[in-house]
Amino acid sequence: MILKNITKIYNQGKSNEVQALKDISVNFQKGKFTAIMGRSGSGKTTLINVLGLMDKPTQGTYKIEETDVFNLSETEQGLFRNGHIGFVFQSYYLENKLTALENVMLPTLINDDIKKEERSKKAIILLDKLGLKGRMNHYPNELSGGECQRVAIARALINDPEIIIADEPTGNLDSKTEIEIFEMLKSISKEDRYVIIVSHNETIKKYADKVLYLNDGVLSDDIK
Amino acid sequence: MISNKDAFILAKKNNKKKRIRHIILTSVITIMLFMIILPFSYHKSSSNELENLLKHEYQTRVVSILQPNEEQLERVKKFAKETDYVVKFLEEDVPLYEMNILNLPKLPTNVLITTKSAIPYNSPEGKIIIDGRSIKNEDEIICSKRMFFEQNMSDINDSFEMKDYIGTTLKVRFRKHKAEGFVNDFVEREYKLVGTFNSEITRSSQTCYIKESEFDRQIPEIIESWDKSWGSGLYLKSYFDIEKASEALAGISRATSSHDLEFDKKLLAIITIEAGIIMFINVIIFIIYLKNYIKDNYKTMTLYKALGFTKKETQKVILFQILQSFILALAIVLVVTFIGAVILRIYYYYTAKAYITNVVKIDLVAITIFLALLLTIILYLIKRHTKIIDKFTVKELIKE
Ligand SMILES: Nc1ncnc2c1ncn2[C@@H]1O[C@H](COP(=O)(O)OP(=O)(O)OP(=O)(O)O)[C@@H](O)[C@H]1O
Ligand SMILES: [Mg+2]
Repeated sequence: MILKNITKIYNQGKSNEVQALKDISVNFQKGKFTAIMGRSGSGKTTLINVLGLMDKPTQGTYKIEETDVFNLSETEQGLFRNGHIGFVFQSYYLENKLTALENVMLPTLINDDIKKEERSKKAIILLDKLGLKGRMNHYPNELSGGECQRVAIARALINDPEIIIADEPTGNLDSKTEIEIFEMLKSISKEDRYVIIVSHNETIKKYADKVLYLNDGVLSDDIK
Repeated sequence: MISNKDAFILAKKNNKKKRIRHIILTSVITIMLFMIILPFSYHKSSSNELENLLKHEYQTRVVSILQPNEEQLERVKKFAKETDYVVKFLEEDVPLYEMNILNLPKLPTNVLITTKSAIPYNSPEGKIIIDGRSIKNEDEIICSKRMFFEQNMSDINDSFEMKDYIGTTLKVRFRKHKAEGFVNDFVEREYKLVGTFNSEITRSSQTCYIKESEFDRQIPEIIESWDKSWGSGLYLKSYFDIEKASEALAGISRATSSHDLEFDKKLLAIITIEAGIIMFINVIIFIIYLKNYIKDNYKTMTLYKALGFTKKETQKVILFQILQSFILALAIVLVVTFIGAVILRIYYYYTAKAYITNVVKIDLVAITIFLALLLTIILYLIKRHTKIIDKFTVKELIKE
């Protein structure tokens, strides 16, 4: 994953112009757990949006394994997200009306590479692996925060993406569960994936292979 | 691409819990919208009846003058000359004679026999709508399309279709009238029924016609002595002139019609205007409701986007969500409308308007247009309010 000269300016040309990302060039490595840390308002979520193809930067190029992803059409980007990128969010964003199993299966509905019969099989194996065997048919409001986040991780993994992006995945969890989640993400990165986690939690440093710092839209190796 | 089946199931699950509220709301709105179909449908069937009344039922436009004296007759003549809505004045009202038809499954009540020439006109164009054909020979007869067999000729259940007997030979019987009045002596004749005409609405009589020459041949034998005058009649341009004519000739006239069309027309106008207003308000409520419903789903749409759903796929799920509630609501609405129609029908029975058969005909064209309109609104709103998906980022999820 190569980002080159990424700049994101909100409300360009207006009085409330904000330069959220400033000329960011970075190379993420496969099989590595990368942590991005920074103060509130430093541009972390903005960067996540760019990395996850949810938003286009004002400037810059982004290559994932030789694909220039910004050149893809809206539909192609959707397909790409579905097959190659898994999101994990701070507040899990599970669908309340779907069970844990159904939530995990959601991304497979639009994935033609997974056969219909295999969807639930795959989801069950994943949930099992993440220690949610007895919770498959529970609804999100019947699950603890940690369980919810594990369901969300399973959902991010179901299509076997090479990229996992998480925005404050442990923001809503206690320190014990936090460690569990970080360990889980760490082991996921070992399966030859890019794992990029945004957090301002110091604990993450223990698990990350690499820590990057965002300061007012500038990415660097240290805190300023 | 998400399959229709998956999108349908997903939509069904997304509708869970919210469903009842959703259905109730959609139903209420749709019922109100559906109400506009009733007046349209009523309008349709009613204007058919109206047309029949005005075109083919001369009796509803007659003011009778009963046994007038010289002076009264002069007055009526003058009135007929000076008033532009009087089509014709008949000094001698046409002879009618009562008869029985013996070989029908039920004996119809008060059948009058008369001649074709007895009808001064049946419509402004002088046409009469006849199923079958008109009389050509002296042994032929045409009768009212519907015959009642009970004294009160208002219940459609107490009637049968005379039309079904076209081609059969009717055995008819006349009671003789002598100087001392009706006697227990009868004349029987046979006529072939060759046609029926529409007189469902003139329930005041059920009539059969024979050829004038035949009538003239039979009458002297049947009526040996008859000193009564039949009275005279004024034939008016339209039903709505009856009141005016009756007023002008107060004391000597009698209107023969009983069906209050004026009332129907006013009611119809009121219903239509009210329905128009209700419809307008409801279309707006419907649009606002749908818009909010789609906006309520913005978070889900963002999540779908993050998971890789294309805009089309998300739209499909939302469309299915709306359609599922909508179709269920429509089912409820159809039941309610059906019950409404039945109630209206019962109302018409009890207000003695039962001779108007299909009072509330559901107008298929109106329904189709209505459903197409709603579907267009739904599709348009989905398209319009999901455009923003392109702009959704992870931030949309974080917003509370
Ligand atoms: N849609 C937007 N329009 C305008 N400005 C925005 C928008 N989104 C973010 N910003 C601004 O860009 C900057 C970076 O925001 P961002 O959400 O990326 O920060 P963050 O590091 O994720 O903060 P936090 O830790 O609080 O989540 C902030 O100054 C913010 O106000
Ligand atoms: Mg943030």
